[in-house]
Amino acid sequence: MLIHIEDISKEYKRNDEKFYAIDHINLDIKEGEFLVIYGKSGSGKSTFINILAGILKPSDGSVKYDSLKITDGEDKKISEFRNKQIGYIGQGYTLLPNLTVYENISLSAHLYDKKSKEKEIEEVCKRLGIYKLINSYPKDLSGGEKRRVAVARALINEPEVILADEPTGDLDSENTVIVLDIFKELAESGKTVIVVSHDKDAKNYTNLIYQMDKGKLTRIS
Amino acid sequence: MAGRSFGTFRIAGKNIKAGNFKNVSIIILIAFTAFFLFGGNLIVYGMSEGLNQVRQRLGADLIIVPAGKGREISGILLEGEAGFFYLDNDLVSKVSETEGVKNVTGQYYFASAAATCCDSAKPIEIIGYDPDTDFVIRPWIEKKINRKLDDNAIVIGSDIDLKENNTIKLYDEYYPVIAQLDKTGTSMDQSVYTTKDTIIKIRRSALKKGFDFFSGEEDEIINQISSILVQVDEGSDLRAISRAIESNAGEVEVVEVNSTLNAISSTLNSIKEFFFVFAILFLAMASTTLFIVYYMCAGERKKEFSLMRMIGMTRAKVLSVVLTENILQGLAGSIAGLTAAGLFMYPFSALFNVRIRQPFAFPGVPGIVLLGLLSIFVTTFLGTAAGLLATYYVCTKDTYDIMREGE
Ligand SMILES: Nc1ncnc2c1ncn2[C@@H]1O[C@H](COP(=O)(O)OP(=O)(O)OP(=O)(O)O)[C@@H](O)[C@H]1O
Ligand SMILES: [Mg+2]
Repeated sequence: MLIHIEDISKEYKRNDEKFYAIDHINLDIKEGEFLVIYGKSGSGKSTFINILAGILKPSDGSVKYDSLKITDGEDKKISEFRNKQIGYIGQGYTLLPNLTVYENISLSAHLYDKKSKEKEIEEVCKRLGIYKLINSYPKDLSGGEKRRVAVARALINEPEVILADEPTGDLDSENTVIVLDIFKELAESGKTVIVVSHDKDAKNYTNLIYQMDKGKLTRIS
Repeated sequence: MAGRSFGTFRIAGKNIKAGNFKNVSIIILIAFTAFFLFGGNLIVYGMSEGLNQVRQRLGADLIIVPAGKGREISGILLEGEAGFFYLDNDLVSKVSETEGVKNVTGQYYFASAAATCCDSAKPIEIIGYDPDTDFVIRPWIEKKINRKLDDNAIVIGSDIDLKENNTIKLYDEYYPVIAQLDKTGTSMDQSVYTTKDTIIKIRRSALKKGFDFFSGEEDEIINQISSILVQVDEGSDLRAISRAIESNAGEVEVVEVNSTLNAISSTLNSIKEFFFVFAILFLAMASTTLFIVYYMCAGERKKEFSLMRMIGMTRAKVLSVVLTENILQGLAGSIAGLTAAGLFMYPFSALFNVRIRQPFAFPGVPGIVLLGLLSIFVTTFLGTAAGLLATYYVCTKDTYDIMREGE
């Protein structure tokens, strides 16, 4: 799936002064590519990822997945696309607090697809080392455990694109390797993976490294 | 392991369970609203219904009593006060000759002095009617039975115990009952309607038991009545007919049933008006409060809403989760409120008859069910609308912005 990013920008106001959190980014990302985006805090990485996920509207420009424009269009179409084709892992904690781990993953798995994915849920949870937690509620999990549940949820529908905002930030090195290995495998099987990271190890997984600086994205290797 | 598919209903249920305190407060608020709405309506409706029943049951346009007794008649009819007064039987034919008069019949009142005599908690009023000319009692019981009133028929009010084999016991004797009337919430519910012949029989057995509260001798009673009930031709002038009767029949007083009932009716109307104004204020307050509470909850749950959007729920689906929560809360609250209102109202209706001296009758089962459903609908709708509006208000922004605000 080709991601076509056309001249997107996001303008915010701070102290009555406008500034660009995203400053006119143009980029095409092809199937099977594994991008790592580095950048200082506040440089616009999360803003970028969320515009790609279609949950934040850019002030200008558009993002297309093949022919589907995610930056504006019918809510139902975009929502279904996001559920099925985008595995989004947000920066904060993103689990629904009133549902168990299993229910959180299951909800996403069965939102548009009524076919039972019990087996798949079991598998991905085992792989991420959270299988014994499936009946727990998010409040009872550690930060790293919550992160891995979010990763499991992002993977469950076998999306074409992974958008991950610091997915390894609170993981130990063992789990970081597990998660990055999964991403690498996905990229090798033709999925597109975009990871925002502070983790210097991430660059060992790909040669598509970008730097975000004041809303501008530049390739550094 | 938990079931695999995951409906709106289940998410809503889990959300309600998790937000315990908030939800209990919302449910209590809705319960109060439902309690007030249902209870208040039941009172107003019950009073209207009581009045209606009385109006129907009186069935006459004019009641003729001995001069000076006019003020007692409404007490006797509606409030169960004892009163004995007598007119001459011959007056019936005199009255029926008056122009504009359609039907005339005589009635004869007794009140049993002792409650212990009979199958009733309170003293029984015995009302004698004339089966040949009666036009008052027949219409109510014809709805119940398919039989002409015969000489010995006894019809009883709703508060009198009916023995098996459809009999009642008066002074140790059993009498066959052909019909029991609906409740009116007046002393009519304590009445026994029967013919003169039966009254004479009852009197004899009462005398045998040592009760002597029937004044006069048997042959006097035969020739006496207490009041004359008159139905006039449609569209005729009641005033004129009253005056004609009064000048024709001599020492009598003519009571217009409608003006007696109108006094009650105007009390009822002011209660209704008061209730209406109060209800509107109350509902406005309740819906504002609900809106504020829901708005605050929605504010707190911003992040949750945006997370649902994030995993690919449509805006409509998120709203439907919230809608389901609101409906569940609305139903729980209004059913609780209704139950409380029911428990409160039942003893209240007795109080109404005794203390406030207003005819009061609960509406029948269909009426109560309808009123209940209406109250459930209104309160659930209020809660749901307030909840949805608040949620929608919070959710119209960009998902990511909502999530950040919610952190
Ligand atoms: N809703 C908003 N209103 C105003 N400014 C905003 C808003 N959202 C983000 N910003 C600003 O935009 C800039 C980019 O924010 P963003 O969250 O994308 O940074 P980031 O690169 O993800 O940082 P971090 O590494 O700390 O997560 C920041 O300066 C931030 O303060
Ligand atoms: Mg960020």
